[in-house]
Amino acid sequence: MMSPVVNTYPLSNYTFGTKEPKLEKDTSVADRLARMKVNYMKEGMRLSVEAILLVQEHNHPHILLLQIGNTFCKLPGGRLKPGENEIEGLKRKLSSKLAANSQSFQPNWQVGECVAVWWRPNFETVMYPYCPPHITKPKECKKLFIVHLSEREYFAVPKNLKLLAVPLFELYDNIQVYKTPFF
Amino acid sequence: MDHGGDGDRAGFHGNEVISAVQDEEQFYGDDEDYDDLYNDVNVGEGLFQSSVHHGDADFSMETEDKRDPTPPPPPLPHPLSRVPPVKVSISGIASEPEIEKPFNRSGVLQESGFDGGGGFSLPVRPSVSPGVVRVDPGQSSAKSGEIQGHPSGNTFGNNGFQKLGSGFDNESYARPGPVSGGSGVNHPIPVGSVGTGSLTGAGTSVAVGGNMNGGGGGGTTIFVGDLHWWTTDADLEAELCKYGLIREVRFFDEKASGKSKGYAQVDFFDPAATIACKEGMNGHIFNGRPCVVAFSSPHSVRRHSDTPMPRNQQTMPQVQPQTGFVQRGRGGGGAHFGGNYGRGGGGGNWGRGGMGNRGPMMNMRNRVGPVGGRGIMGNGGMVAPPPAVLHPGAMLGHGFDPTGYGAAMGRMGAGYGGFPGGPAAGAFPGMLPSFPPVVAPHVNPAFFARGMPTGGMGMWPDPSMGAWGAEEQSSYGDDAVSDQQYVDGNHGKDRGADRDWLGPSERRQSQMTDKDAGSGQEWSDRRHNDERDAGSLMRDRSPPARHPGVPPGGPPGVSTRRLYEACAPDGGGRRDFMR
Repeated sequence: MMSPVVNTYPLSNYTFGTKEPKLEKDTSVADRLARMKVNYMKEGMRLSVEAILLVQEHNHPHILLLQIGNTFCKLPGGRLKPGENEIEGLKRKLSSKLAANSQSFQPNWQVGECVAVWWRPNFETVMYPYCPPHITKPKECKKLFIVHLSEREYFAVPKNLKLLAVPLFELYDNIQVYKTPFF
Repeated sequence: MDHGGDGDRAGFHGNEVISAVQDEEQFYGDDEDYDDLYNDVNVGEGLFQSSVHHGDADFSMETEDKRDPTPPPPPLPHPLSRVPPVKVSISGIASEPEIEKPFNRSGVLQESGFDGGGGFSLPVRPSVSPGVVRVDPGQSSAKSGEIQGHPSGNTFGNNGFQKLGSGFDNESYARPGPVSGGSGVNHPIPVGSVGTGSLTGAGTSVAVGGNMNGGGGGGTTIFVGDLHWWTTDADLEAELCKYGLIREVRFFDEKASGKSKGYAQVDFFDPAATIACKEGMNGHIFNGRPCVVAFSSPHSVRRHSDTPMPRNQQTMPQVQPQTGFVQRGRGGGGAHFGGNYGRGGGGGNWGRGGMGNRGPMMNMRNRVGPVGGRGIMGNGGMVAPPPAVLHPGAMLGHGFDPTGYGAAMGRMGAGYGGFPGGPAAGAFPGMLPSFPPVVAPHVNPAFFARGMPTGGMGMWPDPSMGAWGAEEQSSYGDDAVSDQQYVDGNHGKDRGADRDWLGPSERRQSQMTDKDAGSGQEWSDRRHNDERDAGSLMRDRSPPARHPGVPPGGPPGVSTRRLYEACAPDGGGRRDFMR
């Protein structure tokens, strides 16, 4: 659904339930980076995908972000398995994060355009929207996709996470708070 | 013979920075009165002269007497008495008979290292210098040979002295330690070396140090610097693998943009491979530019390691270990010195990320590295207790605004005559920037320290800056200029336009900068955070608030784009981004 037009619906159109907690695999940044290193050795550059889900509130677009703890927020998504297709992988991740467990409530994820690509040049937390010129072996490549939501959806959010609808003005010039691409 | 001021003057031909200091001293005409103050100053020429003053006729003084021609006889016993302790602390140092050696070495050093031979013509304190001089010869004749072999003695001399004093320990700044009385001696050397901007010497000095360590140390880490920002890891590895198995190649980037800083840390598995690489690859041309290879030390490695360590915290503990860095900085960073100085001299842009990596400051950088900065400067300036070696180091290490720093130093200096010599000496070697340049400090902290006692606070910053700028620019040429433009462009809000998403952050940062002009500490802290914080978008490139009186370095509005266009990498498609 590669449409440049994104229809957004009021947040109230969507129902949010809860489900069992989805814990982070890593307990600390260092752990995460260490695990990243191990995976890099095994599988090469990590490919991850994230979804931008937009809703409308007060005539202003809001992005759905998952908040971990009370600290930072991240976009729903995650790492692809080796050889996995981007779109399929993103749907998998979205369902894992936001879909209810029961089969009857599986959203039909409409993955749209890839709107951003971020690169991680080293095993560090920082990523850039380009691969720095002196880096020939980036450690991760993350693609962001617009996901078109239907008019009505049912989401189930893991208990340990909070799903926030963050207005764009809140994110603008406030990256250090949300750290979304740098996660 | 009382050369007095004349001698000093002649000595400074090669080093404008030092001459500024000298001028002040001459102005006040207190040479003799400040004998004690400068005991620790002037390791190089001072030592030589002091020895001469002691009455050992055999020493041929290559430099004129700095000061106190009269005192020599009385103080003579002191230095000699000090010598034994110094010698004891330094393995291999024999005794009196070796006195002559230092002189020879000094001569050599002076010839090679000290530009114009006058670089370090600080007031020589006889008491200190002999001890210091002795340290060198005691270390090993081999070293002297090495020392001689290296041109650009200034930097070399400093490093050599520092290391020798410490018993070949690159990492620890042992100078002040073993040379109890001569702690101040160290200052001149680093100061001089830094001031002269003979970066090439830094490389050699590092090499010497490296040799010393390599022979006995088995280090496996080197720094490769002076690379283009577009020289890739693949380029580097292609050359590195010829020397042995590589464990890790780690580039140092600017956190805000990901751009390469032009140097990388390389870990081999085998120390022999490391040494072979350091010797074989030094000067190798990458993309048309010869690189600089220098040994590293665990301390410097740690400093440049992952982000988690806050810069402020790193500052203090790293003062000591930074001696190793100093050497490295000299070698690897030597190349960058020019760049840093150029920036500093040019625009008074101290703080790229608040760290004076490239410059003489110790500092960690971008991702890692101590971020000291301005805040530290303020603190250091205030405290300034002679034993507080760390403070000056801390201050110096962090990129700081020259004017601010100078002010702090001036205050410190006013109260403590001998202070600059002592702590500054200790501080500088440690402070000398680690090889990976974080931010090139535009001003040589050592220089400032020296200037302090004379009380000419306001006087030296400007001339020094001017001198430095001139020197640095010339030695680094395009690199310095381009860096300057780069930073300036950033500061000049072109970046804001160029990068919309970063614009507001930058503006905010600029605003913060201005507000923080007075509160150096916060600034440095913020800079640290900027450097360290993975998530922060604050550009560490933004120069710190321009203090009044510091002439901005190049055209403020130069767009960074021009810089990139100028050195557009050749060919593309080096990598395949797709899976």
